[in-house]
Amino acid sequence: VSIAINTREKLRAIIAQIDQLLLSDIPHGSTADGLQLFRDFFRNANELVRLAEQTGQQKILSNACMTANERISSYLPFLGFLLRSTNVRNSFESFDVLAELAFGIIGPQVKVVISSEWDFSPLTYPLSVSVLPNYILIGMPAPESGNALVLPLAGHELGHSAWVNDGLETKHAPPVESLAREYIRRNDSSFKRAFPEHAELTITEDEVVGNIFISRIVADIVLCALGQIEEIFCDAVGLALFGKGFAYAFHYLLAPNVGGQRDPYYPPLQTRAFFMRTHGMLDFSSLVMRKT
Amino acid sequence: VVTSLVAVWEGKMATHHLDRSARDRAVEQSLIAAIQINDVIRDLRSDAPGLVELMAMLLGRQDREHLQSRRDLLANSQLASLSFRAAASSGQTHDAQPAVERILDLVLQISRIGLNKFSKEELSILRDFCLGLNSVLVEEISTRGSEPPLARNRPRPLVSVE
Repeated sequence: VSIAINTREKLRAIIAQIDQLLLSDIPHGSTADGLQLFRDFFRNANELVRLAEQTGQQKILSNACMTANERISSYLPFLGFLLRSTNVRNSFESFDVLAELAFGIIGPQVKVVISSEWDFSPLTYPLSVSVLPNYILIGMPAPESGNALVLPLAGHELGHSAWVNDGLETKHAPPVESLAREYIRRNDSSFKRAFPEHAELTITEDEVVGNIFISRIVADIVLCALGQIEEIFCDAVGLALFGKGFAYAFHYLLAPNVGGQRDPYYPPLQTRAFFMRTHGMLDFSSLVMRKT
Repeated sequence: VVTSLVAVWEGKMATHHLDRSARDRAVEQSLIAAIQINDVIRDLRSDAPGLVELMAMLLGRQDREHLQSRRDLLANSQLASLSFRAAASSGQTHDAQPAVERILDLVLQISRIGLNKFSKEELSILRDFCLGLNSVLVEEISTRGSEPPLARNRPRPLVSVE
């Protein structure tokens, strides 16, 4: 059986699933509109696979099927989220408040969907998913559904949408990239210790700009740095919206830590707390664990 | 300090950056471009608007009075890194720097001379580059999850040394 037949069958199945979801009792129009956007997307994906098949080029077909596979895999949780957003378990009382905040931050075009989720930490699928432009999907941890005091954490999630909506990644990337290049140029001994196979490289300004290997390192540094800046920015949005309430909710859910190694694209929790304390002018002394 | 350090690189700074949304849109766009270039190779069409659209996403708006050079493109670490990984993904791993430079030269010629002046071999390189780009972008979004504050390390390596 060809991969094209299999891929089209998987796309047919997910479109049929969306049709089933659209038959559900959906309390908010945003959810139904979102499902329809996904339906349109997967119909287009099906057309792309058909066009790829017509090229007669195996590698084009292979890429088209891989792309469809990835999209099905990535977007399936979104469909689950949209379905769970219709569940009566959700705190519909908080919907209007969060939607009003989102309108204020992003503008009237924004569509908000909230859901009680089986993730311990609040999560967001912000505006960066191109199939759902203008959507903010906010999930809150199911076991905390009776705890209104964690709601301020949604402020952080709204910050992600503000970051995307205001094009802040694009705005901050060039200066961050310049700083990364300058750091490498000024610290060539550190660079050579990290990459001894490039020990012969003379890191001039020209080399820092034109060398592909250095550019790839710079690109990774920029993505890591931008990821961390975005998180700090989102904390600032949370603080601006909810003040101390955000910091206390942050501490309640995350302190003292969750173990494991942090993703380099996210700042350490201590760094986030430091920025909140320093720039949010918060006094965390009442939260410090004391030795008994 | 930051301002003065940034000033050192003024004039050499990359002015265009593909944010997450644009990288997400570029996934299907790179595939559409590859299909259309393949049609040009087969003489089924003479242009590839999908490729033009993709190039606009990657390079930003082209100013006719200040056309970008290969060096300008290489100065954009994101574009250089994407181009390298796309070239590697399409099998051109033996000598990265010349392979990427050749691709970037072809990319620059798209807006200057149009696709109909390209040889079949050059068109094939461009098509494979678009497919490589598609693979790289698919890999990137496949490692992207939601963004919980508790995010722990995901299996996404920093720059690897081939």
